[in-house]
Amino acid sequence: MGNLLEIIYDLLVKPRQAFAEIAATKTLSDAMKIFGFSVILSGFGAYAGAVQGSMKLLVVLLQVVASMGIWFLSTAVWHLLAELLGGNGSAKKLLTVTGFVYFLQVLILPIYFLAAVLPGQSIALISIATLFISIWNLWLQLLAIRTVYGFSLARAGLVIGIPFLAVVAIMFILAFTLGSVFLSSMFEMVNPPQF
Amino acid sequence: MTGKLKAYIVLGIIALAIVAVLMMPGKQDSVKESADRIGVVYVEGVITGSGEAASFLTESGGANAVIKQLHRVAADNSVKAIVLRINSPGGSTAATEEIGEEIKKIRKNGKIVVTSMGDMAASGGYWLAACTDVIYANPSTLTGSIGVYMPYSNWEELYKKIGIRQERIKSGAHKDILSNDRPMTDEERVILQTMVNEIYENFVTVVAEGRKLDREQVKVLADGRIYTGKQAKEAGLVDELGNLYDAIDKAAELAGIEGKPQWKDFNSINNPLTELLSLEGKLAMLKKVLLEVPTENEVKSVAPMVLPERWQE
Repeated sequence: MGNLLEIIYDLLVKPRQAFAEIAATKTLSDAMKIFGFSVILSGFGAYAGAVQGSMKLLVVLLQVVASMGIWFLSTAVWHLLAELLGGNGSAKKLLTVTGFVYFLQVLILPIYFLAAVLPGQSIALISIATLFISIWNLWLQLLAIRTVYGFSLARAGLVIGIPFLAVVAIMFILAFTLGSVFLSSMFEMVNPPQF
Repeated sequence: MTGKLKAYIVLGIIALAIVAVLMMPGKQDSVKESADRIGVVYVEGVITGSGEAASFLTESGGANAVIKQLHRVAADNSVKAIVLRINSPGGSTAATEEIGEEIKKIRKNGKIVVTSMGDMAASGGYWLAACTDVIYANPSTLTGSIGVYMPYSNWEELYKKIGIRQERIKSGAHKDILSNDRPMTDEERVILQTMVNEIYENFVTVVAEGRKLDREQVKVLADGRIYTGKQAKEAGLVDELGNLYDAIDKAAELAGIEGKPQWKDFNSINNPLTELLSLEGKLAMLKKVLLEVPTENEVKSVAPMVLPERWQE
């Protein structure tokens, strides 16, 4: 346990060194522990204050399940792309390394708390904190891919960027299609009496 | 830095996060459930008789959606009065009548209903307003348009040009009335004009009764023209000039709610983007995409009727 905590400290302060050590010495079971703890604690945070409405328990449960799905899916996609881009590494290793990155979710909880007790600045505070954590998260994922596959930062960026561009393209096509449906319904002919 | 110190720092971060979770104040609903309040019901877009909304991405103008809101607000004992926020150019006569009847039932059961007109509350939108106790409009709101019309297009010449000739086996002389591939006969014109006149007379009755005006006086105003909110007030079609919040204050006053009134929106489907971003909205959208949009299209689409037969398969 003590060693896991030390690794987490290094992950936050000296990520390159930490990833190298995680890739060499840590198991998927260690990553599961970090992932599970971080996501469940973050889910409780959302349950306590950040989510409103009668379905909030369901939302929190979905958040935990969805996070796990995203973790597995993103690792699978990144591994596939990394292999296609000539990388040589193991998907299990990547899953282990990226699992540790989920610890960043714990860092945002004190900020949520501050936002909840300072309602005047809450939106700005949460936005800035979320943006900061997201960029940090992206940076750590880049380093993780670089470490596991021995890539340059640019190639690791490509591995993360390609799925993002694909999603943007799909959204664009979807918006275009929905727009066409919307326009066609506007010009629909109707015969019944109208006011 | 020693390994022990690193571990303590991380433990400190975790402890801080756990304390934050334990002390996190839950956000409260802006309106207390037990308080007397005003329910705001929305009529947005073209009023249609089918489905939840006027179309997939437009806002909730479907009679079903509006009636659902009215049922929810009527069943909520904490709601003492209702504000009907109308932003609609009108729509189907039957759908409008359906909503109008629901409003009358709610008033009959003792709840006050006040209308707040948005950009437009014309035609069917005005019919609904006339069913309420008090009408508020903005000075520039477009309202009135009291009248009925039945659209009809004759595409006979176009069909000839593209080589389409429709034939029908019909059970009666008027079964294919309003067919767009032939001119309307005089007899058909009389039938349809009678229908339009009858619905118009109903409209005049609703306005005369709702606004406590003489029928003849209403008929003078009801030549189909639109009025600004200011003109409508001068003509007696609107009670007061003011916005949604003025209408809420008036509803609270009529319902005997003291102090600043609390109010709650009852629109289940509002902004499509908001809906896409919320979980309940995603489920509703999914249901709509999978179950309702194909059905709506099958029922409402007129275009396939003019396609060559082999294209319809």
